[in-house]
Amino acid sequence: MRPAPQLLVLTVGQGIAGGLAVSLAALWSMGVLSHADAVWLVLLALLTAAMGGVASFFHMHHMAAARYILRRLKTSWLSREALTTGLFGGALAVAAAWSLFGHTAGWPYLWWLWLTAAAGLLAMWVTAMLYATIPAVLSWHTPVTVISLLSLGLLSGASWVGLVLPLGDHRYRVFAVAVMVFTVFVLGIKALHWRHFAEAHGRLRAETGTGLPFAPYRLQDTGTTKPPYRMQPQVWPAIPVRVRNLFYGLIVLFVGAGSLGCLLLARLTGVELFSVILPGMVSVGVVLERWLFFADATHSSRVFFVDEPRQPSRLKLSPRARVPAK
Amino acid sequence: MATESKLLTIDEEMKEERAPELRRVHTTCYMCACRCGIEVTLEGDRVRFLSGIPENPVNKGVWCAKGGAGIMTEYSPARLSQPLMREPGAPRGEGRLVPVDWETALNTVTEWLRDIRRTDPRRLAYFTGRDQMQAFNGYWARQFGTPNWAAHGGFCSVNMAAGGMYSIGGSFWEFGWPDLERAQWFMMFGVAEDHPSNPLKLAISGLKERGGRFIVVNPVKSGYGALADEWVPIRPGTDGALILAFMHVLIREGLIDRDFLRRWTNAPALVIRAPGTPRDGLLWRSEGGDMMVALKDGRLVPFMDARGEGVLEGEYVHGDLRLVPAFQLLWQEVQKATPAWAEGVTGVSKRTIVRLAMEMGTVAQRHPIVLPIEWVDAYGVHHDETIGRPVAFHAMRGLAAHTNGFQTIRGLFDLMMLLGTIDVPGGFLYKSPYPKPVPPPVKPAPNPEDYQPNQPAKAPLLGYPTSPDDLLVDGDAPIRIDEAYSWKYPLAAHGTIQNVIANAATEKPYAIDTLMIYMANIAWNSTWNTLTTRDLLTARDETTGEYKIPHVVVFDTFDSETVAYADIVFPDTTYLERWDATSLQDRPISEPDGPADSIRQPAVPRFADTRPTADVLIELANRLELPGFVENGKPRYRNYADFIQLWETEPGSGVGLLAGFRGKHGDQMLVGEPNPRQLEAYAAHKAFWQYRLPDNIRYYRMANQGYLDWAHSVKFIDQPAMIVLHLYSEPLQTFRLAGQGLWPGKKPQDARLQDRLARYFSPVPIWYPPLEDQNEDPSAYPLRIITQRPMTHYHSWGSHNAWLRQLLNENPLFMNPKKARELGLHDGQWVWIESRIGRMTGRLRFSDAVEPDTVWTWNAVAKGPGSWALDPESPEVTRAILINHIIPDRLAGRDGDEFFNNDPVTGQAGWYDTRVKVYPSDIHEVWPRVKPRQPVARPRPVRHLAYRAKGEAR
Amino acid sequence: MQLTIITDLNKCVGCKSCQMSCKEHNTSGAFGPVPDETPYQDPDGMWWNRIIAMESGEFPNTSVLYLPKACMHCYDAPCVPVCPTGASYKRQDNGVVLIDYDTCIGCQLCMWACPYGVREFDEEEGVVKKCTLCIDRLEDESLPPHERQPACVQSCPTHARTFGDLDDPNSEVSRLVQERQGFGLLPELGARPSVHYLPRRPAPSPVEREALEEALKERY
Repeated sequence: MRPAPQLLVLTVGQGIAGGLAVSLAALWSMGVLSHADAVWLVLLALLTAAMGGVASFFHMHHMAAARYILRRLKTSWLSREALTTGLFGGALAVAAAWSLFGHTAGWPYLWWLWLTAAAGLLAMWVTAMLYATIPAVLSWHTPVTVISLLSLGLLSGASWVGLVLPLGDHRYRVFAVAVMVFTVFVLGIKALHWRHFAEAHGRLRAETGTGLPFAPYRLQDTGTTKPPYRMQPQVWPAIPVRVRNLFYGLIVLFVGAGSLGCLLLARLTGVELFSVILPGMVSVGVVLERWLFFADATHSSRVFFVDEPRQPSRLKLSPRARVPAK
Repeated sequence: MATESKLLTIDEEMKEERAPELRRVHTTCYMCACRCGIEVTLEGDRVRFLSGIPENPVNKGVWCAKGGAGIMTEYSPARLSQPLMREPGAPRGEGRLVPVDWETALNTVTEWLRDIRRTDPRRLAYFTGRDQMQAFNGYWARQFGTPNWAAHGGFCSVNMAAGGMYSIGGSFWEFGWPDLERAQWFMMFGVAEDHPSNPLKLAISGLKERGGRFIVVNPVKSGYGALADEWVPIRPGTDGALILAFMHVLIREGLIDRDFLRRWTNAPALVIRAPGTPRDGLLWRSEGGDMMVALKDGRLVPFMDARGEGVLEGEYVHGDLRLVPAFQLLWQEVQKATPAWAEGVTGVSKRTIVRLAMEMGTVAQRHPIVLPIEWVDAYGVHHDETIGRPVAFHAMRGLAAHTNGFQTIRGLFDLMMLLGTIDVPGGFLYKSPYPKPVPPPVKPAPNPEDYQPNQPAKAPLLGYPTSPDDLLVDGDAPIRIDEAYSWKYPLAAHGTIQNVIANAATEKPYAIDTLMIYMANIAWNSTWNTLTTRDLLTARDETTGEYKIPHVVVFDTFDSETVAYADIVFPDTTYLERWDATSLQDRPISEPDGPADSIRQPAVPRFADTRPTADVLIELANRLELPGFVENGKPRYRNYADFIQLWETEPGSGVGLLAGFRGKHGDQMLVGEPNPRQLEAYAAHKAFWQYRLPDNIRYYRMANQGYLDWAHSVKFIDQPAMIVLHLYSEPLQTFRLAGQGLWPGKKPQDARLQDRLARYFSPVPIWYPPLEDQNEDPSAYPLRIITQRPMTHYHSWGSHNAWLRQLLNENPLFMNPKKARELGLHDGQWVWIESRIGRMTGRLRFSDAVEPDTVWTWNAVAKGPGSWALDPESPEVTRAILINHIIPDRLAGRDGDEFFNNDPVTGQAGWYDTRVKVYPSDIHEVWPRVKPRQPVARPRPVRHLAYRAKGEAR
Repeated sequence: MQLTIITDLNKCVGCKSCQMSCKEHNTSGAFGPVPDETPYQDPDGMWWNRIIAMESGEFPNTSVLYLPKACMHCYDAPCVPVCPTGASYKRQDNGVVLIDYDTCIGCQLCMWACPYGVREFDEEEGVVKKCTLCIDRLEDESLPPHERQPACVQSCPTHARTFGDLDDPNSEVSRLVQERQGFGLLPELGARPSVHYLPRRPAPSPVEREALEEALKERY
């Protein structure tokens, strides 16, 4: 799939905003947050959500029809995404206004923060469902996609808290430990997800795609000399194994080592800088992860554009000598 | 001289606003030589839709990718808009051309031609590509008086045409056709795409619908071959051996149609066996000239008197003559061709050969078709029913484009005779006006004095020699610039266009003054050893510094590579802008069930300052006052439309270019007075005319007396006499005798010429390795390289079509992975492809659909930089390969000085004989690249094209 | 009613007539244009019908197959429910899947959802386009009857394509699908394509194995 920058910004931005909203509500509930910190966090969430919103707006190519976008709430996850993302944005805006100008003591504010966090989670879930419910995108068609997008969003949002709070400080110990545990969880989910991607790549089958069951299978012509990558962004040239492995490494480095390392170092050294580096590391990792999420996704129509991938036998092969002689 | 007139571009044409109303105009397609009937739907003057005409006998309503893409050909930015002249002082080949007005261009050429005609008309050479007005062009050249005219058949498929004409008086193509409506078993040799392309597709579809069996013999499996029930991957150039082996098995298994051979072929004709004498191998004839046959009781009688009872085997003595039936001589030849021998030659297993022969023999002899159609044969015998053999063949350049192609194709026709499948239901069927006598009785005038200044030539320029005496030679020296009908290429029935440039540039056999080229891209993909040929076009005399070919005149619609080499360019129109005819005098659109022809009519306004080439040639003829064109100082034809309607083969013959709607009132067909409103009548009848033969004269037409009488009455044949098929070719034997020094008339003196005649002019089909194999150590160049013609581009290479070029714009070199692994090569790798004359790069693509000893690529995809209004970085320039660069144009070694790489019988270019070796390349791009030329039609940086007939949408 | 096209792979020679007649008709048709990008440089264009050419199997047992691939007009077209604006819709009266360019926002989600890669994006107009089964021909009563079918069906030089109503058990297309084991592509993705393909139908050798063995043994 051709990675569209707008979708990259939308999903990453929405994730950070959602993660921030959840973190904000949690930290506020824990009572470890000052009013000023809360204002900063809610503004950060609003900013990242707005980035995502603006990006998604530019993903539309035919603006004149944008007014019809809520027409298919019954069937279209994109209609729902427009609605839920809008609601989340609205909730955030209210929260921001409330934080800046309103009375923040007492349960109504706390409740609103949790409501906003729920709206964020809902928006993230709907967005994730949009991807996970397309059978033709073989790589995404799994519940792991939902968990992956949600958890990465939460982690990246939580990491952005580091911009406001010195997470090495013992006041935020519970939060920091939670983030570290969650990081390990996210890495596990990503591993599962990537395994699914690899399997999806191998699930392209000439026999059902074309009716030709014999190997080797070669595509000599896609109808035009070139594969229709320009006209059909749902397919994209295969990512070389080395590039993919490089991405895996970088993502684990930035998200995993970045998150755990920064939090540990912040705690051990007490240097606030690590807390600020943390969101940078995680965000870079998430952007890389999202790029790979799009670029490496296998669409079923790929079977019409490329040779079938070679699948070595999964059996343990016996050496020739084991064949009994006549 | 050159005027300042500005180059018009197609943009300006397109911008004009016109009222959008739908109109439908009927005409004939010209995106290839198939000539389907098309309906042009117009919105205002813009083409909305091109579609097939359902009633048309050729395409029956269907149309192909090229046909539909005609819209983009019409509006191609590569179109020439006005006459051009080489910039004064600019060297030829760089494309430095300046616009001139028509009067200047016409005057200049008229002066050149007038001078030539006044002094030595041979100094004009006029050669054309895949044009569809050869009857007109041939007449024009003949009236001019030069012997040097031909179309492109020399490199196209003259072996197929001549092989058939010298066997059955017809051939495949426009001359005949497999009856796939009834065939049960169909074998196709060497066809990737062919120009009765839609008819072939329709026919194969019919065969598949009925569950008929389809066998494809081809080194490559693609296109039609994809549907084959059995693919026979054969080594290129060895089909002749396979065919001989088929005959071997058929005869031994008793699966041949002896009645057919006895009655309709010269198989029983007695051949004189007298080695070393001038009569050896000739047919023994009665005093009246009839060939003689032996009856069972030993009596020797004229062929017609035997009434089909002549015996096929044995040996007879008459006086001092030893006589053998022709069939026996064929058997002696094919006896050697055992399936085991053929396996070694062809790579096809013995088992497969025997089985396929048994298949065709069994289906033909054991499962005949019996139609309740009565007919009377030439012996006067009444047949209650018509017997058919449901075994059909089709073949094209896979057999033809080899230096052994003529004999291979002779073999195929003999095989069809053995099976009894010529002009029978389910077999091969002639297309009107064929069958003609074997070979058709047309011959060029053979003597130097037949081509005199200011005189028309004494006879049509192309035809079929029947003995060495008919050759156009002066001693050993050729009369024609292309050496057609010389000792080198005696039966060059379509001329040999591929020899012209080299001969003219080296002044062998003589120098010429003007080379006129129409629709042939001789500076690129219609030539071999391309780079050398381009050098020859610009070769200069060392002393004078003048070009060896002083004047080159090019007629073209588009800014082709050849345009850059022109001194004068006449811009042609497209097929949608002019009057035209497909004629029974040329290559008609007839189908087996009867004669047909068609017209083109202008559907859209002419682009810019273009004129139809035929109109320009008539204008030149009128200015030169050529006889036939100008009478008593008065031009007979203003333009080609006049010529189509008014011209007759002979004054008062009643036979002209078009056969329908003849006579003053348009109510006669085939023969009748010229009708000045004939084109109008065609236009009103969806642009074609067709006559369906009654059933009783539709089959066995070579011997169907009813048909022969009718064909005679409409002047298809001179005599209503039976056309005996030539299982044994006596004309070929006369050339062999000349080679042996035994022929009483013309014979060559040079030993090499003698040797070629003696060796290759076998009267019965033979197989010999292609000349390339004989000349070199095959192990040095172990692979054979061939091209396949893409269905989407066949004959449409030269239009620079925005839609077609998306379908194919670069071409890899396809290789069998087994062979590649042997050579240590991998998929996608850049490789050198080296033949004995040079090397080029290409990119490998694995394919299991090619036999291991062959590599192949698509034909003519590559384009030269600066031509066709293409961006110089276009894939056709930077990523496509043209193997013409490394196809040898001459034989190897010492023979190369004298002989082109042509079939020694017909002069057909052997472009499928090229051998190569393939090895890794360090250069990862296309090489060689030619220098960019200056474009006439400039590349337009169009970013986005959204074609709508009705202007811009939304 | 479910209008559809059946392609007989036993007849398709890969000539791309249908690919071109589609473009030729539709670029000036009601759902056009069908644009081309840099048509005279390195070209790239929109095609609503693409003929895929592929080979499989090892030499000499190689299959070569041509597969015309356009919109499958699926019963459960996955491109329809995902569309947020309802621009992508399936007609109730004849099952044809169409796009309303006026309400399409160009989000391309339908292109992800389509398992077959038959929807192409027109960047210039910002909308997704695809095969309409030539609905503008089918419903144009000014056309003669033989033209009131998809252009690709009319042009096909091997008559490999048949147009009709798959819901009518007596129609030619239904008969072909039943009698010739017609199959749809990628059934595992659940779109239930109405477009079907008829498999190859090889004709066997008429020579008995015994007869061949005998001839080979005794004579060759």
